Amino acid sequence: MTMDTNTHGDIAFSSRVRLARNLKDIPFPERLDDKQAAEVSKKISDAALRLAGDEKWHDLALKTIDPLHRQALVERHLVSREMLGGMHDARLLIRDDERLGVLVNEEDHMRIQALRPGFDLTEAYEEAADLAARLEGILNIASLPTYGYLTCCPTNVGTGMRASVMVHLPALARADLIPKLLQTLSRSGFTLRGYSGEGSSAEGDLYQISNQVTLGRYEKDILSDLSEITLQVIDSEKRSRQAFFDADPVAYEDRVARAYGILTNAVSISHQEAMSLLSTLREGVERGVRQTPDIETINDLQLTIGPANVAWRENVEPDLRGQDALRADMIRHRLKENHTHD
Amino acid sequence: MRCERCQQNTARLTVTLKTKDGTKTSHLCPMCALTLPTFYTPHTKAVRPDVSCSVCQMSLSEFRQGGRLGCSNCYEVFQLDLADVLNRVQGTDHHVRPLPESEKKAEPTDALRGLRQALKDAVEAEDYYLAATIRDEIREKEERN
Ligand SMILES: [Zn+2]
Ligand SMILES: [Zn+2]
Repeated sequence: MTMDTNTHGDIAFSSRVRLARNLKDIPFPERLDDKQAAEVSKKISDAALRLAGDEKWHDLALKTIDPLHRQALVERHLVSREMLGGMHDARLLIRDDERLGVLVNEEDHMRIQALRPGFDLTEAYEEAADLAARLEGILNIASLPTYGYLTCCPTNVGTGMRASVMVHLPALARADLIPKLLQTLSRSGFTLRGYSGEGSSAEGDLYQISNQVTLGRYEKDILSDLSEITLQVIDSEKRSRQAFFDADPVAYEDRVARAYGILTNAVSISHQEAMSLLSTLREGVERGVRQTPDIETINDLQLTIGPANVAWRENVEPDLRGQDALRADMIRHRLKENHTHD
Repeated sequence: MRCERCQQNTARLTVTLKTKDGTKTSHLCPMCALTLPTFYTPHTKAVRPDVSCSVCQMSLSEFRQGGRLGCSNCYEVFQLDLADVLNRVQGTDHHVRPLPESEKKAEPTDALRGLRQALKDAVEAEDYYLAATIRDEIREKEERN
């Protein structure tokens, strides 16, 4: 793919590729008893950690780690919400930089996932595919010539691949164009959902575009279509932002300045309010209305100010009021560190 | 375990038939199961023999209800139903792969010969769904002759 470029890194928040793989002739996780689940889990972790070599990886048994830590992983999108339901010896094996991991005993025996900042599907795919191939070299992975890689749900069979790009779409959301966009995408085999994954509302105006079809197409074709469609979405977001700006440049700039003002002065702030203001600030920085903070800082804040993350990091009970003050504190500090004279 | 009928292929299905003397359980390969006179088709509502997966014990009715597979072997056990499911959710029922020679078009005069070869190829490739379709086509042609 020649279309992936990090010049779209402003609107594209991150890229992710997830490959589902299963062991041959061993029941899928939901049909395993505790003992079998433990065996599968051990077999896969041993293999993956052996392949990790000198790299630093973490092995998190999701059933036994602190529930707050688990929730924090969900907020950072490293573990799916569904995984918290019926887990039986489910594990997250994750490289120290959190960009490559294997989810064990979720819906499938293995989900190999690679994450990259910005718009970088090619790199994410290569990293995930490389680990999948090396795992296939030492484990007996289930596949058939007719169906490709076999998965628990027929919606994942074939390539077993779910590729996605997280995009920041405040202007399309403000113009109420998200439902229409969703329709257009689903006609070509792609889907769009909010970052938090619940219904259509999206925290911080972050949406995930991903492929729905996994069978009957080569990985590279799915990826290049996804890239192309993402570029189109980025383009219409840009046009929509321009229209808002042209309609009232002063109001546009004012919104951004106020968002920055609240974020750098608030003594207590809810997660929802912070996400919404960060979204406005991000849009302003991307437009050049403001020079600071940098996008990296905003990305980082958006990923780490969820209730479980704040509580887990600060080692406090997730009590609401105390937590809002801690969050405000953290945001103030991060934004001030990042401040240059402008 | 080997298939009870052909003694060759792996027994992937457990077929339970209720007879007047009680129930009879056989362990068969998908190809031999297809030759059973009472074997189900994707459109049969009531399943007369109870078909289940030999690895994870998922039954056909359970699969039809939940729409999820129990293990990799289920893909071979339930392939007659799976084609419909995959066409619905994926818009196709086949993974991309190069077409075998026999699937490319044969001369009309050689139709039966071509089909028999295709059946052989399909069985070798363990593509039992394709095999079943070809088998039905052969039967139809033979009956017409
Ligand atoms: Zn047989
Ligand atoms: Zn099974």
